[in-house]
Amino acid sequence: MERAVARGEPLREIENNKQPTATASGIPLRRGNFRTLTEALDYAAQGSTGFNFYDGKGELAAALPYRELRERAVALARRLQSLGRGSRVALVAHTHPDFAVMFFACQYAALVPVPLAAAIHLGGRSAYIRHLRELVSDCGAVAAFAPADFVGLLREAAGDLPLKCVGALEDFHALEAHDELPAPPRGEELAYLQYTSGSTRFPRGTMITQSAVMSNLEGIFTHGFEIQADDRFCSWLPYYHDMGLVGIVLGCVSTQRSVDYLATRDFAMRPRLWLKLISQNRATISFSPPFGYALAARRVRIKDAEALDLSSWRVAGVGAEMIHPEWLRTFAESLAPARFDARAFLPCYGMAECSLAVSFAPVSGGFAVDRVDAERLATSGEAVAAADAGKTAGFVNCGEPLPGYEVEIRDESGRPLPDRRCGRIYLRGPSVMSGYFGNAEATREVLSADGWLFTGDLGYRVDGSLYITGRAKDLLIINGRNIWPQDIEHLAEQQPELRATDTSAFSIPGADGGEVAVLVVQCRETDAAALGSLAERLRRAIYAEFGIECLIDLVPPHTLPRTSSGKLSRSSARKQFLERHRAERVTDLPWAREAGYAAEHAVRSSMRFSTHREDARDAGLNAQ
Amino acid sequence: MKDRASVERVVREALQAVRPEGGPLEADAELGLDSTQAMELIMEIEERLDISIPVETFADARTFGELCSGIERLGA
Repeated sequence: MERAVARGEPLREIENNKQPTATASGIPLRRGNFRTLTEALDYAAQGSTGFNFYDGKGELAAALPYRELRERAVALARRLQSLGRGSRVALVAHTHPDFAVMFFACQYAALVPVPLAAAIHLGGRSAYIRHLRELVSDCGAVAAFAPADFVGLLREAAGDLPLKCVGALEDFHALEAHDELPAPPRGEELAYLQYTSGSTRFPRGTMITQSAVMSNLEGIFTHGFEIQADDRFCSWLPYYHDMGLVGIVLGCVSTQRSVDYLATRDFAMRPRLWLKLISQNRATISFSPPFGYALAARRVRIKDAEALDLSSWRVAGVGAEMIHPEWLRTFAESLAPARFDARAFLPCYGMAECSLAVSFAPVSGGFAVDRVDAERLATSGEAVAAADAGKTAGFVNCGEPLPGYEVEIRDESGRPLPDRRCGRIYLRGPSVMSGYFGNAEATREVLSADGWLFTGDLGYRVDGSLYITGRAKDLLIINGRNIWPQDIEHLAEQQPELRATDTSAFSIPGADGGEVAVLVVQCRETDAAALGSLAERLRRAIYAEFGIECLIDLVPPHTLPRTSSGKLSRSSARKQFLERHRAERVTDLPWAREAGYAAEHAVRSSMRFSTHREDARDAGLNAQ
Repeated sequence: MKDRASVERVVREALQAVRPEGGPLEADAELGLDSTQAMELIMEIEERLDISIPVETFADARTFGELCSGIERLGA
């Protein structure tokens, strides 16, 4: 039963006799078939599994059995209920036991927790504070919580906002306790709000009901991949990301599984720790966006791989951004000495607007790639088998939708398309959000009255299986992080030389298959030094705000293309940009090869990549 | 307790490890690292000084000088 510690190297001395929770729960397995999250935790608390938190040295810092999580959450809930049933409570979602206690205390108090990003880039204090403050306001929170590491930042962000309580767990323990808990949450009540990106200009907090999230969890762990009584999770995914929060935090509670957590920041610093934990605790399930596999593969050396045993890892889930087959292949090759089996790769597709998951590829099938004729795809939208010669494009099979979900591929006028025709992906099913909180307009744009959700993605189907080919909406996804172009443009237009509608932001393919941000800027200035100064200020401002490097392309006035209604078109701007530079991807841009400033082009560029682990969405792309 | 000069030396060494092409840094020079590099830098510094750098120190370190000051204040 103590499989967690029975094999691999022994855990080092643990203070206070802490041991990780067992893999076996000691109670019959239930695969997410609960009406609400409180029912799920009530059941899990009867067993011996729970959450385990590892520090940056790979040592167990805290174990939180579900039994204890429930006790602490219920006790705190009695103090929270005066905040008012259904009220929002903002939670800085740092990987920490206190977050789990607070999240479930909100559940028992029938409050709506709103996990917010705990990601800061170097020197990014003011941008982070502003970001927190905007989202706390947007969700109309009545209180805001952060684990100790973030509490100073939260207090600064909360400032004079009218909140009933701001602080760490002990601040909430100072609230007056009621004798009884309120009536438990009902299926139609909101379980949480999940922001789909860090955008503060266009915040989109998905409203997810108890029944929506529970139906998705049951579908995932029954049909997506059938969870087993000897499964154990390991995860570094951020708690403010749908895959980390819903898939892992809520998923493990709903299936009574133990999970070993590594904070996202510790993974980013020491990605090998992730693999070491899987090896040591014999984890069977771990998910990551593709860049996580790429980062780990880059840092692992042969001797590290030889010291690991990843043979227990049966589900290596991959989603949240376009899946680059070569990244997965590199990972599998690097970890072959650790007995990692590439058939464990499980591509999946989903989004926060659907709670989490839409589809999973067949379990134990690895990633399968459909090779299609790239010319035909580009010209007619047909995804047909590639001829022997000619350019091909490969897309990963993301599997069939979970039972109870309908998927349609539609053309631009809304007509359904047949198999192997590429179009916009629409989705209807039991876990689709109720809408974006406080944003009826954004809701109307993606959710129809009869329940169809426009996913914003492009793809095609073959015999019921989904293949994701790209995005229909304007959105940059840089290493799993969603960035709305409007936010970059708005920031740029704060420069005194620029006016609204002088800029257009989009992404182009990077050197390694990822995305690189580009900002095209119209300006009247012709002096090279002044242009250089502008480009440098823009680059710095974007770095400070988003932690990414952005290619700046300065162009004369009236260069940016407009639609017939006079609006700027980012997709046309992107097309023109690539044509102007005769490029298909960033490596075709001679001035982007060096991270230097080329005055004659009035372009400041860099090819570095960001790895902010923020919200992300699932997509797929792949090879044999 | 580390003095300013030795903190600066360690940060320079760590920067050199993360970004070998980088030249000498003035106190007010922006670090200009992408976030993968930033995480590597923090790890290199943590391992060299055997400290843990809190998120607030990280958040306040826009320049080389600010990073050194933040680490100095930790009393490493």
